[in-house]
Amino acid sequence: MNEKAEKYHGMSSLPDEQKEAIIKNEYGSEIHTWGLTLSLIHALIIFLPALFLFFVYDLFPGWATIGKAFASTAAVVGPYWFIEPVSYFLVLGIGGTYISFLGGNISNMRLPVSAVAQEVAGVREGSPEGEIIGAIGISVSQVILTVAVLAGAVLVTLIIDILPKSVTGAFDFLLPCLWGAIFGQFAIRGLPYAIIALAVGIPMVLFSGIPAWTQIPIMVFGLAILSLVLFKKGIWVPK
Amino acid sequence: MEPEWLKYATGFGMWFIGFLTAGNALLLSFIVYKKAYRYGRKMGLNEHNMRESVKASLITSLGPSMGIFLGMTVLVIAMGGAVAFIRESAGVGSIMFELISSRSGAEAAGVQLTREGMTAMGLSTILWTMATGSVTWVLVGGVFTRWLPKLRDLMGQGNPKQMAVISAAIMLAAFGRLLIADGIVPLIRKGAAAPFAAAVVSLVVGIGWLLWADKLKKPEMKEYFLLVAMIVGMAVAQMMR
Repeated sequence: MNEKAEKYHGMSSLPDEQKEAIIKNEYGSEIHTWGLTLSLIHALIIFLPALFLFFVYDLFPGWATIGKAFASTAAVVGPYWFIEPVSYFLVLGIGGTYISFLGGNISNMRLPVSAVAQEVAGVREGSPEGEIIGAIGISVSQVILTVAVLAGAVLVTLIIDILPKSVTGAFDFLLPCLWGAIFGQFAIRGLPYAIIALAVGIPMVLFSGIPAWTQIPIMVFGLAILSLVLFKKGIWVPK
Repeated sequence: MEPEWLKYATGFGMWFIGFLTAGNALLLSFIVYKKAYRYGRKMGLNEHNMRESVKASLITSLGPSMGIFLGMTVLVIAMGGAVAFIRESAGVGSIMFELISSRSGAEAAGVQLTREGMTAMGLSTILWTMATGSVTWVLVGGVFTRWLPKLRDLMGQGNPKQMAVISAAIMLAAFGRLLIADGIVPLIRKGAAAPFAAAVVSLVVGIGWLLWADKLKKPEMKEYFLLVAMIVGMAVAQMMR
């Protein structure tokens, strides 16, 4: 057996057209129906915590406040709403995409699980066999994720009150640490833009008087346009 | 005494919503699993290989789950166990997204994202922000998956290098502003050195860890970069307090 045949030992001997017809007309069609239905239900479930506080405790911050917070969040994550499903589809497949965009943890869990499952089963990524094996792997990962998250939520809740103040107090610095680490991660990829972000951002935040919730969108769109223009001119293009 | 907002955030109602949220994701996983197995057999896939892939997925999921387990500590402390369970079991999952939306919600509500600084209205604002900020992912994934193959072909004509540069610039703008607001402004306006030290130490440790992983050619080390950078940063800041 040659090396390639050995690597893909799990491929089915059915003709390609027949396998693709099963994926498209039978498996895919059923998964699309369930995936769409449960995703729409999930889109409602996502609002339950906020609606629970509204209906049970009469707590509602007002649409203006929600709008401001949404604008700040959307400016950062908005592009990823569209980029991620498109970029990851090839690896996640149909079934895997539905679970992944409902259950999250894509780059840190779904992608590695799908890749390892396909490797172990000896199937080619992007093939009908890869679709099936990837979907099996990603389904299994959701069970493990749920157990781990439930355990984490319960255990941390139980021990948090017995932790000394010196430990819990350190979490007051969590946000500057998180922003610093992520800023460093991207500074490696685009140092000039890191310097510009700080040089423009410090005076803007300290002295401009621009409302806080508009500062992220202004900086995001400003730097995005600048990077696009400079890239087109061949300036600061990575090797 | 337990603050009012924490009672709302960790009461039976919120846990019930947590199980409902996780249950919906588990139901979809169960259906996909059953159908994949059934059509896998029909397609002529080897039963042994399918079982092996289940085993491999179980083992592979354990590592990331440990990372999620540790990472969600932050969310449990800031928002309570039930909210963390809801968001991490079947929300976006990325602790970074959850903290960005929590921070945006807290800022819009005028409260601090700490146990002492949180209020019931602040909690409500954060929950609305988390929901509105993540529902589009579910809708794009749920409604548009059937058209994704065509869209992917269309977008493939773009320049991936250009996309990478723009993405990095966007992230630097967003995180630069957050870093300034939470690390540099307290130093300049109030002389508070600890938050500034937290940001700088995490930045340096984070970069160092990533470069070290590259040098050792161990990409799996990168999974822990955020955790290591944050722990060192928080420890240094706490010592300086």
